[in-house]
Amino acid sequence: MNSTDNILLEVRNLRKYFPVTSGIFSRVVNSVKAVDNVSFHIKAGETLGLVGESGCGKTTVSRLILRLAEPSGGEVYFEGEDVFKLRGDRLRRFRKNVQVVFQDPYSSLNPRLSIGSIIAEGIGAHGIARGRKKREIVENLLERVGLSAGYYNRYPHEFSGGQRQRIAIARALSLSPRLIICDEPVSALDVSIQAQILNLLAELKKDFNLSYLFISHDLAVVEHVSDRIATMYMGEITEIAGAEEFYSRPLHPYTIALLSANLLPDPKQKKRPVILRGDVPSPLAPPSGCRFHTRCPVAEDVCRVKWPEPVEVSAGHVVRCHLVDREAPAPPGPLADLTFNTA
Amino acid sequence: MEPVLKISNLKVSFDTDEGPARAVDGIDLEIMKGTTLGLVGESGCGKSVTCLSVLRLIPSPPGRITGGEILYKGRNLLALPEKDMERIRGNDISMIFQEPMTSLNPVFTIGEQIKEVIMLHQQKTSAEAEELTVRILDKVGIPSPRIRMRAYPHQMSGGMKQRVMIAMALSCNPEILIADEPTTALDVTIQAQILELMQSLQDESGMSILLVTHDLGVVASMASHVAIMYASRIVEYGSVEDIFSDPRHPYTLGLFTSIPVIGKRGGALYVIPGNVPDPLSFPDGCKFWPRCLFAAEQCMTQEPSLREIRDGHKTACHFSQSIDKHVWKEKTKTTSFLISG
Ligand SMILES: Nc1ncnc2c1ncn2[C@@H]1O[C@H](COP(=O)(O)OP(=O)(O)O)[C@@H](O)[C@H]1O
Ligand code: SF4
Ligand SMILES: [Mg+2]
Repeated sequence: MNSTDNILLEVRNLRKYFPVTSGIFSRVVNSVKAVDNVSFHIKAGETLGLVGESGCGKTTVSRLILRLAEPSGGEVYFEGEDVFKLRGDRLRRFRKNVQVVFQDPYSSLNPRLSIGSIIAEGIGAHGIARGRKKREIVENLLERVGLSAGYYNRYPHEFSGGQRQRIAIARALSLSPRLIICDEPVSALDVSIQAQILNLLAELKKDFNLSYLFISHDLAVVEHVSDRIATMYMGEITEIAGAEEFYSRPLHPYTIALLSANLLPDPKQKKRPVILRGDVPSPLAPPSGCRFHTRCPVAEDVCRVKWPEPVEVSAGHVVRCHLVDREAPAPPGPLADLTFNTA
Repeated sequence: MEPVLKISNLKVSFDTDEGPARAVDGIDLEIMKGTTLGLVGESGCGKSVTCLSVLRLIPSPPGRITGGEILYKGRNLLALPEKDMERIRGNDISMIFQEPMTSLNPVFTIGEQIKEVIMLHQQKTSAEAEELTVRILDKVGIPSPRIRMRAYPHQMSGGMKQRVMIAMALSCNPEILIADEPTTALDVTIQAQILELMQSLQDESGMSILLVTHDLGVVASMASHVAIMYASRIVEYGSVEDIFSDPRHPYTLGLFTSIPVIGKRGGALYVIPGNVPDPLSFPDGCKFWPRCLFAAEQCMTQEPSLREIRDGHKTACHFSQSIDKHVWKEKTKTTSFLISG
């Protein structure tokens, strides 16, 4: 890896298999591959969007990176250090540098603490400041996220969903992190509040030189904020590309279906979405071959038996689909009919 | 086109400890026969209360329909005896909800539940009702309906449950389907399936749909007419083409420029300043004035009524004649999909 690329976070072949047990002796009878061989990186100052439907493994990826869950395999490097091997001071430094904002601003803030204490907690714990200075930092943060310094002694229940999300963002910012993992940060909010939070995150990114891993099921939101976008399906990354390319030249049939199912607010757009048949299969019995083949409109015989390897079709554009792994001008063969036309 | 349902000056309020909350505050709406009306607005603006009023399902107490008229086939639903209203529900007007799980009974199979609805409304023997159940389940795209009808709700995915709800709602061929955020809880690929299903059922039966959603993409692709709701009032109404190509109410313009649109990345989103008002203490005059970029003296005292500005396009704003997307773009400097045309 070229050092000038300035890779902040690198995830390599990350896996999380949850054992499925049965009987009184809790014999392990099966496993759910919640995250399977997931690889991606985030450069300094960049936002990587991670999009996929509920249950596809997005949150598990973030929990693994944050060391809130034990991985079954793979590695995560942050600023070049192997995160799973960090101990002591280095682990503390990592925990300071990587922060998280969750979807639910109701359950993620301790209801018994004032918002000042919530935001100040990490500042004290990491020995960044104490007393008056600490309070001053918190008051500045409150104002920076669009709240009033006077809210210091108020409690979470006094605030609306959007305001609580601002409090969670202030808490994440309090340790001057380099990376913030935003896990569905606007999904619980109404559109007008969503716009406030998205604008705030964009400003903070610039002002504090932050990087984001931005997780969402909403492709329009992800596309708005991201420099690069990855799609996930049943624990695997199906496609990664720069945001422009992702939209203008999607190659994985799942990406194409997601794009077309995301209806444009434009009544003149009369294109019917690509309809995927059926539901996502049970993770207890994942399909053979490509995990997407049961719903894929262009699946061929090979898809049912052989697991597709990720292929880099052009610089930084990685696709996991047999039909793309061909010496043909892209989009190849049957995918051409599916291609989501941006014109 | 003739309206199949006409709501005039509907008012609903809920009694709370702090006084009456005006959940719906004098709305006018029409649903044209065989078409879909999209009802759009943020949470709490009164969409669900409007839907429940049509079926007279407002929980009372604390709720009260305090005024207005809902005309269906020449009859005012609000004045019908409860016995007649029972026949209307399911037979003439059916409803599906956002959360299919809460509206399905967990202890009965889905087949039993649909059959029960059929036998309640139609003169059918048990065997006939069962056959009809199979046919309906098949029609809404449930594979192997004879087997699946023996399943319990918890054995089905969210998308399948919503299909079951649609099957139940359509079992008696209603004239009007009220769908309150039917796809909000579903993943987008499943949403696409359900919307396609609703569209094809409408094409086939000619039913009218009242589709409640906060998703402008869903409205644009499904509806022929749109009503934008804000703080218990309809602020703009018109054909889907008019609303999307020539929005005239400042709230509509604000809403439309506050959402990210695929293919138009980057750039700041417009933020409507302030917060949604509390139905316990709405501002005097136009309910939007504290957040409106165009608010003038008059707006603070006089509530604008919903008036036609041009062929069937209505707004509730004193200044709609002089506010449009060009003025908006100039004033806010926001870029958005709707400014393109
Ligand atoms: N059962 C109820 N008791 C008290 N208030 C209610 C009840 N149902 C709805 N409301 C109030 O009525 C208003 C409109 O709500 P609703 O129609 O559910 O909004 P929407 O469907 O647009 O999100 C809100 O202020 C809500 O709190
Ligand atoms: S009536 Fe006045 S306050 Fe209300 S939307 Fe129009 S300009 Fe704004
Ligand atoms: Mg509602």
